[in-house]
Amino acid sequence: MENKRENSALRSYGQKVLSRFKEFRVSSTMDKIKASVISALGGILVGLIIMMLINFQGVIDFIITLASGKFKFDPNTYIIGSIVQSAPILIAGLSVAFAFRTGLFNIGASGQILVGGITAIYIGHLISLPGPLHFLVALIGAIIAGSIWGGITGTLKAYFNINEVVTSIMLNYVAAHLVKFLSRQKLVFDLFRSQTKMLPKSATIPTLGLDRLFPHSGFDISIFIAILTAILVFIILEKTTLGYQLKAVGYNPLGAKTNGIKYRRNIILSMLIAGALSGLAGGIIYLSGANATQIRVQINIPGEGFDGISVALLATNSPIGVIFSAIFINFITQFGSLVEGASTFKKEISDVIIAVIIYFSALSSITLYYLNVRKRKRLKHNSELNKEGDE
Amino acid sequence: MELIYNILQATFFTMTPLLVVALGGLFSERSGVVNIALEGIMVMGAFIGIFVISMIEGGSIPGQLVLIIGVIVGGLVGLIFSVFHAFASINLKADQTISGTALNIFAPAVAIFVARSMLGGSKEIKFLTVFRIKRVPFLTDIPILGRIFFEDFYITFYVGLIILLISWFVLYKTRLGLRIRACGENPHAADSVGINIYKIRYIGVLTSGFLAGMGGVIFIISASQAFAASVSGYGFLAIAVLIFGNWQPKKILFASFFFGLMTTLAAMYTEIPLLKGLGLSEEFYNMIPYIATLVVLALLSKSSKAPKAVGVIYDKGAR
Repeated sequence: MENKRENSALRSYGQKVLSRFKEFRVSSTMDKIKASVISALGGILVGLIIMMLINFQGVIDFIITLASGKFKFDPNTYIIGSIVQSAPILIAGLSVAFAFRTGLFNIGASGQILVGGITAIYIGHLISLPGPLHFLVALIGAIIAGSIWGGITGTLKAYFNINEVVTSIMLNYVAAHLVKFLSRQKLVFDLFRSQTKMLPKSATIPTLGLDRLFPHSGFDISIFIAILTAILVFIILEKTTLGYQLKAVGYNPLGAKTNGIKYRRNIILSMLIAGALSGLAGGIIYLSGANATQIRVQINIPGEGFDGISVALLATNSPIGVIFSAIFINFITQFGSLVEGASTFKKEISDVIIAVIIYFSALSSITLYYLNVRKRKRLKHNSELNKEGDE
Repeated sequence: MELIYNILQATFFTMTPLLVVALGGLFSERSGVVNIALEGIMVMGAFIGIFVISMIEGGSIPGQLVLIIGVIVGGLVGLIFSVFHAFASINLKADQTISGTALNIFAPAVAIFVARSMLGGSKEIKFLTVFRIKRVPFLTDIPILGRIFFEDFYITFYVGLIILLISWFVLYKTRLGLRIRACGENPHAADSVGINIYKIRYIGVLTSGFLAGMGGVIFIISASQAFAASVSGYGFLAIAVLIFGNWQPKKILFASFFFGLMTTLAAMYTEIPLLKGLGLSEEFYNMIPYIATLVVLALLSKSSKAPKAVGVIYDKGAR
């Protein structure tokens, strides 16, 4: 009697595990994409409602202005520009997503971007090399600098058990002060504009003539670099042993330790890679000739690092998903300036929309649940059929 | 001696917002919910709180009362705003980091958007009253202590200390406090003895919202003359102080004092002969508080004890 009960308990436990496993398989890539798209649409809808609540007439006027063609809509600025200029937040998003996948919250992307950026600027001014080579060397410098900055966070976590969130917040400020100091040194300082000097053309991102093909779009090869990087990160995470180990440490540190995966080494390695990605983003931002971004001599924590968090979250930390979410979020930002140009509303509406989208994507487990209600019912039905068969 | 008075006075008003907001974070995290949204909640509280101050100041209400009203309004706004985080992370079992990040993006965006769209062009909300109290009759005349505690101070410092005492009392001397701590350590055990986990976690998150909203107003009135949709990262620093303080009220007091002192030393380095003698550039002095915090954390952090269930979604079914 006792035995039988135990058996049936065991069996029901087995079924539970099995159904868990099935549930897990149910939330496939397709569902994740669906959840992200639903979040995005929901965010846009709520943003629209907020605009209407504040000024209903304004929304109607805005639509009329757009429809009547009074407002000059330049596709090069608003469409091509949105796509090609999303490179920095795309790569920053990869950095945050990579860290998340390995169990770390890299809120320090901003600091890594700054350190990478200033290194790239210094290499741009310090050495002279021909064309694309100069750019490449500067970019590699940025990657190494960002990597070191991220590595500090990783080392402090691995050896001193300091929460990476605290370290990276502190290092953001240290980077901001350090970069302010470095950017007002004679070699790179433009006294009249109180910012860093324009870079020589050899150090800026090659445009391959794309900027002339699409005027006002700021087109250069950075978007291609970004997409290639996303593919590279995807391969590292999904197709290599290294990626598997890093994810294992993130998923279950204790389990990974008992299975002989080196915990400390992997934490540091994760942050080195995340830092390298942010450093690359920094290089891309400050080596841009088309957009001519200079570092201003002031305490400045670049917003791209925080945008990277939104990008990663909307993409549910999938490297390939990051490509689309970065472009999408950049679209929303561009939409903000379109709104400001064509109506009485201010461009910050775009940030409101992005915030609502992120909030909805936090609720994606609920969205997925409702998406899967039907599938669940079918599974339940099947398992009940099986049970009946057993008896 | 004069210098020491000045340093301590400045330290007190730098540390006050950190103390209040970190205590807010303490309630949330002790109940098991990560609250990375402190920054956003501070911004929201400061936005409405400072707006109210700018509306009612200069009227018949005395200055210090205006401040207290502003701080309480900020707190209430923070409380309401934090409901979004509580609802997402407690009822809907959302990822707490993501929901918190959403609030952090939302707050400054809405503050700027509303300020620019409805209150006329500028994103700044200015206020005129100087809330600093120069001296108090009798109290300031107490030797040494009078000058440290009752000269050039903000009443908010004492509000902060009272909040500290109340927090300590509630967390360690009441049934509610025991329940909050239980929810953060082992929610399933707490549930099994009939504690309503959801209710306790709501109390934790909403308290953190109230305190963070207050902290936002406190920060703005002592740090500047206007609110410009930012609290300069103090919400994140408060999270650092919370972790530095090892999730305990007394240690949080020490951590915020330490950070405030370091910030003050960095800001006043020209007046301190020992520091000025180093002959470094301004920027390196400004790094002191951040590097010092990291060094102290590196020395202490081996014993770091976060609440066990913090950030873990509570699912009744999972055992």
